[in-house]
Amino acid sequence: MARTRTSVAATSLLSTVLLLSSCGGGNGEDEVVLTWLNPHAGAYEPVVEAFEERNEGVRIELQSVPFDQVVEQTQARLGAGDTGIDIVSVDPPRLANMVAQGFLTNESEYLPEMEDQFIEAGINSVTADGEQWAYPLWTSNNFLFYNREALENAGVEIPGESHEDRLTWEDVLKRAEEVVDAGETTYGFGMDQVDRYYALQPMIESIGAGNGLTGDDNLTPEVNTPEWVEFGEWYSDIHSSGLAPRGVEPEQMVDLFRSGQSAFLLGGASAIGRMQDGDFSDSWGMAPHPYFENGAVVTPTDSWAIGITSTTEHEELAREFVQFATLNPGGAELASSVNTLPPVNTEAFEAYVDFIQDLAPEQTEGFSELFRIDSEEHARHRPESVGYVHFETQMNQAFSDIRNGANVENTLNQGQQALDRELANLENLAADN
Amino acid sequence: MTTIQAETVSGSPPPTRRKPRFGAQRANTLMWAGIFLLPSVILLILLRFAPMVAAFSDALAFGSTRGIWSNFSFIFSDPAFWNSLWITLIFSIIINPLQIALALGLAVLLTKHIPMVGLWRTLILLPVAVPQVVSAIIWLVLFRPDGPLNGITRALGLPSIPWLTEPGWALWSIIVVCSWVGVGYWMTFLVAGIREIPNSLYEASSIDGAGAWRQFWHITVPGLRRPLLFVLVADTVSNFLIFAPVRILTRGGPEGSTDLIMYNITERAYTLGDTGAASAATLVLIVVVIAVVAVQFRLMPGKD
Repeated sequence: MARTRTSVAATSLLSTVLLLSSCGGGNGEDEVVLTWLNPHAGAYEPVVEAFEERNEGVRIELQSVPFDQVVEQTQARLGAGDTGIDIVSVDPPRLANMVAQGFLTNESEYLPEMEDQFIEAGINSVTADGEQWAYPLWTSNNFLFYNREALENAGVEIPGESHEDRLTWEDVLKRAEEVVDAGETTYGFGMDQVDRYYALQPMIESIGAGNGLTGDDNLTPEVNTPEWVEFGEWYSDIHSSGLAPRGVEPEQMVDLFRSGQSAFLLGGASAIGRMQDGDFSDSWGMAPHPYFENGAVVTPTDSWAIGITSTTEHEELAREFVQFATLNPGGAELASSVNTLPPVNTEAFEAYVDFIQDLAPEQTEGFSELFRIDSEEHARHRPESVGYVHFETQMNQAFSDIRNGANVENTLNQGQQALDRELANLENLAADN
Repeated sequence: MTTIQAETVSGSPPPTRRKPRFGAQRANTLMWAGIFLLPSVILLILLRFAPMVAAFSDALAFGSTRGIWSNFSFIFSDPAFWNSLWITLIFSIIINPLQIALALGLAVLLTKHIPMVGLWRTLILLPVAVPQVVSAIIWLVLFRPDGPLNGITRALGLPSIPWLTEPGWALWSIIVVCSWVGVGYWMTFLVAGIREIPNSLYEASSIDGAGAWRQFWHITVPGLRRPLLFVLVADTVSNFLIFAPVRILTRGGPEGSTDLIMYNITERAYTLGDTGAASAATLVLIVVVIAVVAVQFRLMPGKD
């Protein structure tokens, strides 16, 4: 009896120990594993494989989660001091906030190398308080894609591809209405980043409004000015009239366009690969990002960067990899080989342009030149602020509500009040630390 | 205690040498009890007690120039937090009676002799086996303005319904999704409860001329008092903690109409990084849940 009890107790103790130890992980081999938290499933395998081949005994584990979750997971895990993430993808406007929380290592000593390899906009995107905290991977721009077949069938003039042919929004909507009226498509216009500040900022600024944050540290919100309301009304109208769809998520927009349901799509270069894949290939075209009549031409810029976490136990090795994927032209080219976004590495950019032109030779003829002009003359960074996360969260929600039919003025006033409170609280919290 | 028990058992003063033996035996029992309890106690401390203490210490702003209660004063001065509490209250008042009534109705129906009862029970229980996130994604497609559900309404000659895009509809859509999963789950407890009620009561009452309706109110419902109390409390608590459907379907919108408190807390903690305010809001949620459950216990008639 006693023996049975002893063995039962021993089993129960053993299982507890096993249960507790199994939470700890660890593989007991000599292999070093670097974990990279990123929002781009399937995009980095080529660059990772190349690095692993060069560095025996190193394995890079890709933890890919959806775009929205990478922000939350970064906050939750790095905020709790998790040492399990060595490398993290960084959305540039969120950099200042991550730096303020001490999530990233200071990479300023590699500025000369960065200046050798990256375009200036790329370096700016990883700079906070005058220092560098990550390595830029890509830059970005938006274009006006159109359904060539639908436009031709509706007898609508095809937009030109060069920056001199840039259309106004007024003109785009007129053409979109004509295509819908002709019964060619269900919707006139969609956006692959609908409701998101990234895509809206150029439109807001083109109509004559500010970017929404002012003051010394960009901690004073200004989102209910007459110009903001004017843009809000425009955004509300295109959705309430049914010209642009309600209830369709950003992730579904490119598919909506390539299934022939929308005449125009405002989207990034990463959509090119998806549009060429399948029946829709070659029945589309691309034109420059539109602007408002009497307003300035404004285009979006910046894209993901890669940072090394301050909690990593393998800082040197993590840096070696991050530099390989960004500073090394071959590595940077591999890092952009799946997600067709333009690298900030100047050498890799040339290879990228060739790649895009191979993918869709006819449509992308003017791509390189247009990209250069937009980046140099029209691109505006998103506001750099420790309160950017609060700002973007509020604005994305506000424009989602406006798209669904909420009163524009009330929504923007509420957004202004909420941001006033949140950004003031942020300053209080910073004063405590 | 030990001595009294020993005296009562033997009826006369025990032999002196038995005393230490009994004490040793009891100590032995206590030791084994301790060893058997240890895994649960360790897990309780790690998974319940420690996070609770952490939430307290995060919520109270020690060393802040703004005062120790500043996180609480911040959330209580935030209209979004009050809106979230209000929405959670409305949600709870609607969804809990609805789910329990449906679960009870289905449980009664599926314990009757109806054809293919196993098939119906499996179909009703099936959504429980689907992860919440997956079912929310399926509903996201169903609820699209040009999705299958509106295809049906249009085919019936009705106008399209703005399931997730209009404040008046969105909370109802969340209730539908949560109930699709919840009703089958809670039904299983009530089915088991109905099986426990002696059949003789139904037979006797039908000899006395009681119809199905009277049997339901006077035999089934009183007989189900204990499983019903469990379902009521557990369902209420789980509905206070709804998160995944809101995150995937509406993100608290449109216009804050589905901003249930758990989503509000998560957003504060993991999107905005304000763990202090999130912990304060969590403590408020705990107080609300305990208060509601206490009221439910008081309202449930009869005590064992």
